[in-house]
Amino acid sequence: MPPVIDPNTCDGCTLCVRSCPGDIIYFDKVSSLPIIRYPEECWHCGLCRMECLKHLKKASAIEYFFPDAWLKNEGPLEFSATNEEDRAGSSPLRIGTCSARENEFRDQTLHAYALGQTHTTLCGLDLRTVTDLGERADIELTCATCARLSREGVSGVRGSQSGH
Amino acid sequence: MQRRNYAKTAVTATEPPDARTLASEAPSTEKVETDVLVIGAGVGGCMAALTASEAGVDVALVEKAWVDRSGQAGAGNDHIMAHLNQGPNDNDEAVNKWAREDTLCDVSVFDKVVTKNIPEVIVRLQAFGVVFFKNRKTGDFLRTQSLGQPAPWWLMIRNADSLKPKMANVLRKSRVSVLNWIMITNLFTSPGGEVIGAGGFNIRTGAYYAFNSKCTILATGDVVRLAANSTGNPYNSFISPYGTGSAQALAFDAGAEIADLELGKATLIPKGFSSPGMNAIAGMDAYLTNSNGERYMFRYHPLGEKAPRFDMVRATVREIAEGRGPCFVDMRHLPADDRSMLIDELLSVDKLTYRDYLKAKEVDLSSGLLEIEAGELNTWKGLLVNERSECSVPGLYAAGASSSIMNWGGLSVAMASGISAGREAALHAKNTNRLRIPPREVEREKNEALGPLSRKRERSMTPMQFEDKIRQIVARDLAGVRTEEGLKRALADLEELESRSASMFAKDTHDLMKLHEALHLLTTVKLLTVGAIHRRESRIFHWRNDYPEPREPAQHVILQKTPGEPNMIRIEYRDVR
Repeated sequence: MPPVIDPNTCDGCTLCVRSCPGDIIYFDKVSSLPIIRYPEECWHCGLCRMECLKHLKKASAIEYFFPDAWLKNEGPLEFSATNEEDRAGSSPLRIGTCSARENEFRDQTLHAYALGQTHTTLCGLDLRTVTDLGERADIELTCATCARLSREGVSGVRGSQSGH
Repeated sequence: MQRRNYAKTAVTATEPPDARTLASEAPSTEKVETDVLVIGAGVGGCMAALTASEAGVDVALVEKAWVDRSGQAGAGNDHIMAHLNQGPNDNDEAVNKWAREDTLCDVSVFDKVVTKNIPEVIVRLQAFGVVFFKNRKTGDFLRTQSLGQPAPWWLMIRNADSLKPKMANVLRKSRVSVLNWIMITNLFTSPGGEVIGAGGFNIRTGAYYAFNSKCTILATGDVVRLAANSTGNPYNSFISPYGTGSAQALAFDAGAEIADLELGKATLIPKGFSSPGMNAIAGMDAYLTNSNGERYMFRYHPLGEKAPRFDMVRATVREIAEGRGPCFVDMRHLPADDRSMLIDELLSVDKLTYRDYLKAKEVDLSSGLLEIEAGELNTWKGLLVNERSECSVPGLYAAGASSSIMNWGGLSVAMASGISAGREAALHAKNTNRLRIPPREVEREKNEALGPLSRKRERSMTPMQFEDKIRQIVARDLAGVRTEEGLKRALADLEELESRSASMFAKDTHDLMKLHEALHLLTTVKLLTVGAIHRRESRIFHWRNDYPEPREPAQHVILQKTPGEPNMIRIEYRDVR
């Protein structure tokens, strides 16, 4: 989770409420303590903690924790590829078309992120680079997220389409 | 006085009000009359507001957060680009020549709006109390070179985290009225098409604000949350994730010309933690290495790690794809002092949690490496401005990353263009009468803005679900190499999504902010898509499989609303000047 507030150190000054650029921190009038109301919208900018430290001087009442996914090194990034037809040049190059797109995942969010990851890793490349990568026999371009999903037993990801 | 009470209520709110609370308290309408209205209080908006105010006009500065810590420089900035006219390639000509490398830049506009104002940015920052690192013996500014530039144009800031608070202090002492926590949802226009103000609501109280101005400056920054990095969280971003294209969307709706929206990966980031800092890393002579321990950048660019940022992203992605990844930042060779300056003084300002992240990830840069990846996508530019910072609609000005002059110069470009917009808007205001906004129109826009709070929850979409769908479309058809087929499919899906926007429901006023952010994102992405369809070339971040070469001469693809026909977009090609 993003910032966590220590109720014993916090004096209820509300500086964190005002310094948060994302309208994430509110204030519980009953306990006179700030509440991290929207942790999933936190930029992890550290401003609340800095203002807190400047105010309390000795130590900040706010500590940051990073979600696990932010700390992992998962090895080389992988890439989605053109399918066989595309490689043969019979249809326009469809880089970044993840074959899992057509599969019905129950979790739509996961689906969107899977797509986002695949595509964003490719963006910023010029056409020639992408074509080169797609044509090289020694590079297997696969969608990292889908490969992981298929290992976890979502069947049909590889088999249902020719994209991988 | 009433405004102050609102602020107090807002700061100690336990939760944002929902429709029922607002109904019992009857949300009020605050009317604010001013000469110049500035929307967005990042460094560009602040400079614009101060410059206009010093010229002797009334200024209201309105923003979604609090001025002390809002915008891309909220946590500070460790370095800033400025030429000082002290040596070869340290002058206006060299900066303009560099700006020309962004082939869609109108250099005559850049020269007047940015280059000529950069020296004033440095003078002003020092007057605000910002301190630069200087050589102890000579007293000269300490400077570094990066981003493919021909000279060391980057000055380093010593009290970097105080940049925004110092600006805020100056603003408080000035005559500028600063209004926090307000999400702007519309611009008001006169029957003659001039922009005469803006409307929006306080995200903590639900109070509606109608600003009536002689002219308006838009400065809401980059458009973020369009895609995520490897962690999948759109708020884990390099640029502030709270920028969602309000300037582009509001200006387009008011009839302004929009051009050259770029969607790209601007930088490399530590894997899983999006943060600026690559410029400082390159500037301090750290290496980028691949899994074989090679400094690979020289294979792609003669300047190595000091190559343009786009080349660094491209090279790194390619290294990884060709099996030489993962790639790393290596600072082991740096003298201990330089390394600690980089980590403790520079990167920790780029993002205050940088050191915490290194610690949590158990990376010690004196003996180890930091894995990197290409960051997420964001969009900048859009509002086409002329030499006087004016948009194509009378009474509308733009500054900073949402305006067409933005390039890799970042905050200095934002501040310089803010000075220009503030100066020109003040001049305009002095020679113009304020046109009244009809009360009926205020009432209509208020209902439009607050309406989603009263919608039925059943069968409706949350703002986040709506945003997720935009990200799916961006990822599928806009983020990679583009095809006409894909772009048209994207446009059809965006229009379909737009047709369902009235089914979005906001459970409280924070959610209502997100709803309007999602709508602004949608408009921005739609403009990006239409622009990409009509841009029959490949250049910068725009790659078309059917038009792989840049088109010469370079042209802006200009988009504008067709009066009377809300769903028609006028397209015009105009040579870059």
